[in-house]
Amino acid sequence: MLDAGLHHQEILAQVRRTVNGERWPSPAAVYLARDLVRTLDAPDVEARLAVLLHETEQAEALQRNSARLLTSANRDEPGWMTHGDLAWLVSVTPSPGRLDELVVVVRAREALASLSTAQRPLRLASATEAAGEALGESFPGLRLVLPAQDAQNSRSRQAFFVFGLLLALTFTLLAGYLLWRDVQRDLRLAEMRSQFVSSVTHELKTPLTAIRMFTETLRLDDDVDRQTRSEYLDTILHETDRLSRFVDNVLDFGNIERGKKIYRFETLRLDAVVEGAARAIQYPLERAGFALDVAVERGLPPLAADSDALQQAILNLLTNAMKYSGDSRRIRLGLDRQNGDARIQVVDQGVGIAPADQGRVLERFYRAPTPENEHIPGAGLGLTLVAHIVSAHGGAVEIDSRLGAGSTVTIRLPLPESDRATHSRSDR
Amino acid sequence: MSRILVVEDEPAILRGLADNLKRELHDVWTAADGEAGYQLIKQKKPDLVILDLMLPKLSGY
Repeated sequence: MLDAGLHHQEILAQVRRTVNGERWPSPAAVYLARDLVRTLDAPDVEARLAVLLHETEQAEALQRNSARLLTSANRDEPGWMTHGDLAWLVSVTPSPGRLDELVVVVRAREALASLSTAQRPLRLASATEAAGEALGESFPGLRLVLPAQDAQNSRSRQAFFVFGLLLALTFTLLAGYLLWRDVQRDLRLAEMRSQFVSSVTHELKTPLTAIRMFTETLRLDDDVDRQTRSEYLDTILHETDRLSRFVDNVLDFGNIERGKKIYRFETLRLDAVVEGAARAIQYPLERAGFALDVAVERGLPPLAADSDALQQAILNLLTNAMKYSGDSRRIRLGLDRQNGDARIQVVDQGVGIAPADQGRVLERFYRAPTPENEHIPGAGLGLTLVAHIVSAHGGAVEIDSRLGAGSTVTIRLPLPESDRATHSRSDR
Repeated sequence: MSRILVVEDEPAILRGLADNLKRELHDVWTAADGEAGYQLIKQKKPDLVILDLMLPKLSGY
């Protein structure tokens, strides 16, 4: 079987054929043969049967070995098997790429002689030290060494090292990035906060300055005629309103930030709320030369809502519309019903919001960074509050805007189911 | 008596300043934004300009 130059794959194939072929008796047949040896009084027969028995045992060992190799769960592990008294072995490398060569270390000179020349991919080497795996009783001088495994190990160690290094590097980079992002976010927030403080100061001081100036004028000057006096008092009153609205906004924002904002829901009619907001903003609108079109649809079903909060939200939208109207002086305030929702809309024809900023204007402190806006006072709270108030009512805020063409901000509030049903019945 | 221009975007403050100055018998012009203020400076050549800094269109700077 040990033909020089025979490839180990061919040897394996040959072994498979041998094992699968029914040349060998079964264990039961072997038992019978042993029994036969005892009963038959013929030395010649006994010798023949002993040889047969020995071959049978060898075949069974081979069968076990090859079965172990062929069904091995770990197909990546190189395996080996031996057969017979002849010193030959078969190496099985399920993934041939893994193993560069198989080295058989031969310690017994006679075994080396029987193996003679090197057979690819087997390399024969004689060695005095005991290393590798013993091949069994039949091959006392043969040991199996898988040299490639050492190289493989060092390669895998190297790969492991490189992998570890990459992993560490990735972690470092990731941590660095996260840190950088956090720092950036903190810086941005700090900048927004400082802008917020300066704009809050501005928003507080402007009405205060006006109130103080008109009060001083009235106090120092007795000659102020009746008409002017009444106008001054109106102004003081409305500046006080404006101050209250702003302080409410800041306080509410603080409450929302701390999760302490409380809404007081009651059953109310939206038309009253919308008209109330229109009345509250009437004076500053007129003073700034604005025309406000109010279009309120009657007969919307009452719903549970916080009247003050909703009015505050609408006023914030109207104040924004005034602030960002540019040269336009028309603002529309509407209330109607659409798809089972009540829809409150504030429409201006002003500067508009760039698409990139539309998603962000609801964020706290955020103000679209346009040169025009730098000269418009504001703390970046108005829309944040609107969004919070509306979501507390189970509604949604929609912004539809084009730069230079104005903005439409819509508050959608879901109308109660039962009322919708009642309404559609009364429609028929 | 001087010729004074007040540039201020806050209507209440603009009104208050202008009224008080008028009461002191000055000639007063008013503008609500930077651009209008600039035009008035060129036209009227006032003796004094009371100028807000944060203004629409053209800032006080």
